[in-house]
Amino acid sequence: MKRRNPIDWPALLMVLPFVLILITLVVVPVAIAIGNSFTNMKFIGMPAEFAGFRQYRRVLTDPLFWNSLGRSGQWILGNALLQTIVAFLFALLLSRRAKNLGLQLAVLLPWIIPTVAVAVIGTWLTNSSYGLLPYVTNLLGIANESWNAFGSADRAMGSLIILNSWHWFPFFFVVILGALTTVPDELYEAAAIDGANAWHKFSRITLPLISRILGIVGLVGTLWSFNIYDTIFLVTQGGPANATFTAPMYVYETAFNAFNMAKSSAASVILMVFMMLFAVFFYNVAVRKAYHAR
Amino acid sequence: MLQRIVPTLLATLLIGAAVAQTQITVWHMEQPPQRVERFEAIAEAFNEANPQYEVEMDVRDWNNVYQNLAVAAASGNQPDIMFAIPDFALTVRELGIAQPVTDLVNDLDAQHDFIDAATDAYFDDGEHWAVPLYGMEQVLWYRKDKFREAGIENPPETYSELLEAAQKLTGDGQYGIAVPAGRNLASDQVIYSIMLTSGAGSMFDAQCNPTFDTPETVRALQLYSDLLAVSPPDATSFSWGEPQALFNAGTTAMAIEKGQYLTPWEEESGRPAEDLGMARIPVADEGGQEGTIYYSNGAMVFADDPAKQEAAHAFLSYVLEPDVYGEFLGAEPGLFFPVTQSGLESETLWENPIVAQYRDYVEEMIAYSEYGALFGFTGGYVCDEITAVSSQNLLAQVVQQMATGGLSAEEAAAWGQARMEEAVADFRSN
Repeated sequence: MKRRNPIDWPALLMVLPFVLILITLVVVPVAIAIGNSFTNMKFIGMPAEFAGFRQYRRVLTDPLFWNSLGRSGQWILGNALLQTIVAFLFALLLSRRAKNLGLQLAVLLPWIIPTVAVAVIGTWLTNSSYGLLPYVTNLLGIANESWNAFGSADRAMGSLIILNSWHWFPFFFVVILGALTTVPDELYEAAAIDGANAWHKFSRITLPLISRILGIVGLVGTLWSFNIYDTIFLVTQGGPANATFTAPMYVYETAFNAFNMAKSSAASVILMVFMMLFAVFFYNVAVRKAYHAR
Repeated sequence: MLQRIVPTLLATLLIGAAVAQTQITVWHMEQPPQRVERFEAIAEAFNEANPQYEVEMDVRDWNNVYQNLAVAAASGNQPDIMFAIPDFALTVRELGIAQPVTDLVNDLDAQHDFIDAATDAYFDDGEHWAVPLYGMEQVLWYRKDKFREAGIENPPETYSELLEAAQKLTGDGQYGIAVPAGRNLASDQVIYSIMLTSGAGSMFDAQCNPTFDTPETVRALQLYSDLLAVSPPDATSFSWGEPQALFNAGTTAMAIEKGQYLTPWEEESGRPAEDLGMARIPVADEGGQEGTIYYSNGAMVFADDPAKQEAAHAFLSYVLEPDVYGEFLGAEPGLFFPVTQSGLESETLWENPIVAQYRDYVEEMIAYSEYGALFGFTGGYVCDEITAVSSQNLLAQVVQQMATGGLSAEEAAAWGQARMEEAVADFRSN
């Protein structure tokens, strides 16, 4: 007869506070959102009736929802590419100069600036009446009339991606820099003896050895970027002409401007499912593959 | 001994109960410091004159007041009084916390004679839902110094004159006008004023279905699109503050806005009062009509406790006493207009230094309010559906579609019609 493992009560007791916090801050709000999504609740706290899957049907047949999801795709892709590339470049440049702490700290500066300040800096720099960028581009003859980075539907998304990437790339820089320091110097020395050039060293040694970290950075960065709402709200409020109206903006607008809490909750649940599927897929394809490739 | 202590204790308790204060909280969204200070002063004066009550003013942000209120109401901590505008009041009523104030409005009407337009917007389902406190409306502001430099003698009266003047005043880093195109209430209001002067003020039919896409709307949108071409490129992010700042700085020569332009004019522009011009909003060349957005800000009562209701009614009655009312309106002279006949005759109103300095303008604005209207409240009926349109700033979104979405006026009108139909259907089907 197989003996059952005894319950480790002290261990359970030690994790209990964390479990309670998790239940209070994650499980309960998610459960409330799921519950609300099956009602016709208009505002928080208002009495509501059971409405079945009506809100889900409304969200899934709303072109604005799909458009906002498409813009979230642009947002994620733009941020992931730009932040990773810039962070990688800075990490490669500064990894060999570990003693130059000042430079590394300088790269970290945008990260410690509050989002509100980043939004103000961005809008001031690009204001067509008194902004530095339009002034300089006019002075240099690059642009012959006033322009506003966030005021045009064609430019707003790109400008926001640049602003947001500037704010957050130092985080990825730190992670990648840390990963680079784990690559043993002996490997580079051996490769040099074998006549490998810089590209070979990068593509055959550096990249494979840090690819797992890059995969995790990609996953975290994607989920993080997807949920960014504050920068967009502070700079463009989803405009102009809905050009930066991403999925989180849709959720907020539906709840607090269109006053439809139930529909907003349904959209939140759908997005949560999307992101969970994406995370599982990404982890299995990118992260585990990179892990096994080591 | 005991025989002496017990009556003394009882007497103390009775006296204590008799003088116990009833505390009420008032939320308002007038954030500029001078308005906050003036409202605080009015509340303090009331508290001193009525020691049985204590009114506390609490300033909130228009951008998130609804979320604040919804959360407060859910926990039973809503304010006892809250300032509101008509379409917002409709939304707030859905929370189920608003108390009708019909008897109070009728009493105050008998004493002070409300302007009909001020009370009508809050009358629905046979009840009054707010006590009107002050009116607001838009006019055309123009810089006389810029007009002189450009050789323009008179303010524009028609669309073509407005556009011609704006184009003439544009150049060398200066823009003829600053019209907002941000997704906000400021843009909603300016485009609506222009729609009114084009004869497109009624956005709903008698069944409250959207009737936005009309030739009159297209004409108004075309003018707005043309004015955006002579506005600063940042117009798509403009709200209330930016056009005024640019106007005072001399970067723009005209703006369509409410009376808040009076107070800071001399200090911020460095120009004398005589250089600030004010005129009625130009009307369409053919078939146009006088019009401007006008709405009364009212006080909704949420207190359901009889003692708090009594305190709320006492405070609102106090505010509308002519002498107090004049001081109250002085929180932003030129922007806050009286909504009662007795308020119009208030000495303290006309003694206000800014009102006295620009008396002609203030009188003209009061006369102009005769042509005022508000979206969703025209035609003698109230359409609850306006909340679905105004809460999402759909008028501002239409403007943005022209400003940067590449749509023509005709296409923007059709786009707006479709979006309004969707919003109304969504509102009704919830």
